[in-house]
Amino acid sequence: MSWERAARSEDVGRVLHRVDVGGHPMLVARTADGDAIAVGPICPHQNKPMDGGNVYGDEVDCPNHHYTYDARTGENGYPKRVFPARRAAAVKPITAYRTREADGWVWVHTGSSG
Amino acid sequence: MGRVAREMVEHAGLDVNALIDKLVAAAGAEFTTFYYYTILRVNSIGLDGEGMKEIVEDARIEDRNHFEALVPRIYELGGKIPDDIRDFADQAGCPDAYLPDSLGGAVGQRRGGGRTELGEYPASAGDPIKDLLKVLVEAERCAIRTYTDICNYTVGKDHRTYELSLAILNEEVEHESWFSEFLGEGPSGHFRRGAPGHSPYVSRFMTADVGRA
Repeated sequence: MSWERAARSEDVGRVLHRVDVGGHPMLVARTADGDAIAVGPICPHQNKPMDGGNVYGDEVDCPNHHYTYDARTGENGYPKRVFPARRAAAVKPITAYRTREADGWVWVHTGSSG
Repeated sequence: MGRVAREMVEHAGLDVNALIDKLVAAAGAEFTTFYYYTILRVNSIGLDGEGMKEIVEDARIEDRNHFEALVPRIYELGGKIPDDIRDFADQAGCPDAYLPDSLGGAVGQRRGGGRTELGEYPASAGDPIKDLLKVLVEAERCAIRTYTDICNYTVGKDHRTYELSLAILNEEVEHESWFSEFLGEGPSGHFRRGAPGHSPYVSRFMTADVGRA
C-alpha cells in the first residue's frame, strides 16, 4: 500500500486508459473538472473490461452496457439510482483508487478509496 | 451479407466484428426498452400519468423502429442477432428499465430508501410519476451515450452505419428532452410527434416497413 506512479499527466485524458501499477491493472482518466481518477479495470456487471470507456462529469461509463460509477468512490450511479430496491442492492461497485498529481505524473495509492 | 459493403468498412480501418457487437448491443437495448416501455406506459396512470402516456408511447414505438432499422445493417455487415432471445437481452447495451417500486406495489408500501441483507439502496422519490420519469430519462441518456459512441466509432469510416446511428441519436436526444421537461429540467423545445412513433429521422432507414410514408 503506497503511492506509485501510474501515468504521465499529459497521457491521461477523458477516456479510460489502461496502466499497470505495481502489478495492479487499472484504468486512469480525468473527470470533467480535470481531476485524475483511477479505477479497477473490470465492470462487475458482467465482468468485462472497461477499457476505452468515457468519463462523463465525474461518472465512469462502462462501454459494454453503460453502467456508470462514481469516479471517486466506485459506487454505481446508473442503473442503481432507478432500479427497484431489491435489484439496486445487488448492483456492485467498482474499485476506485486515491490519486494525486505531482511532478508531471498521476500517482495512485494502491489501497482503494472505497 | 454485403461482401463489398463489409470490405469497404474493413478497408477504412474499422474492426467490423467490434462494430457488429456494438450494433447488436444497441439493437438489444432497443428491443428490451420497447418491452419495458410497454409496462411503463400502461402504468402511466392518474391525472399526471395520463398526460405522459402519449409521449411514452411515441418513445416506445420509436425505440422499436430503431431496432427494426438496426437489424438490416447488422446482417449487411455479416453479423446476426442471437438465436436465443435470452442471450439477446443479456447483451443489451443498456440496463433494464424496470417499473419503479413506487408503482410496483400497493400504494405506500414500497417507497423510500432502506437496507437489505445486500446493503443500502437509494431512496425513491416516493412520487410514482416522478420515479417513472427518472427511469425513462435515464434510459434515454443511456441510449444517447450508446449512439454517440457508435457515431464516434464510425465517423468518416462507415458512412452508412454513421448516418443510421446519427438518425437514431437525433430521436433519442428528443426523447430525453421530452422526459426531462416533465421532471422540471427546462423546456424541451419540441412538440410531440404528429403521429405516434413517427420517427422523423429514422423512418427513411426502414425501407421494408410497408405503408410508411
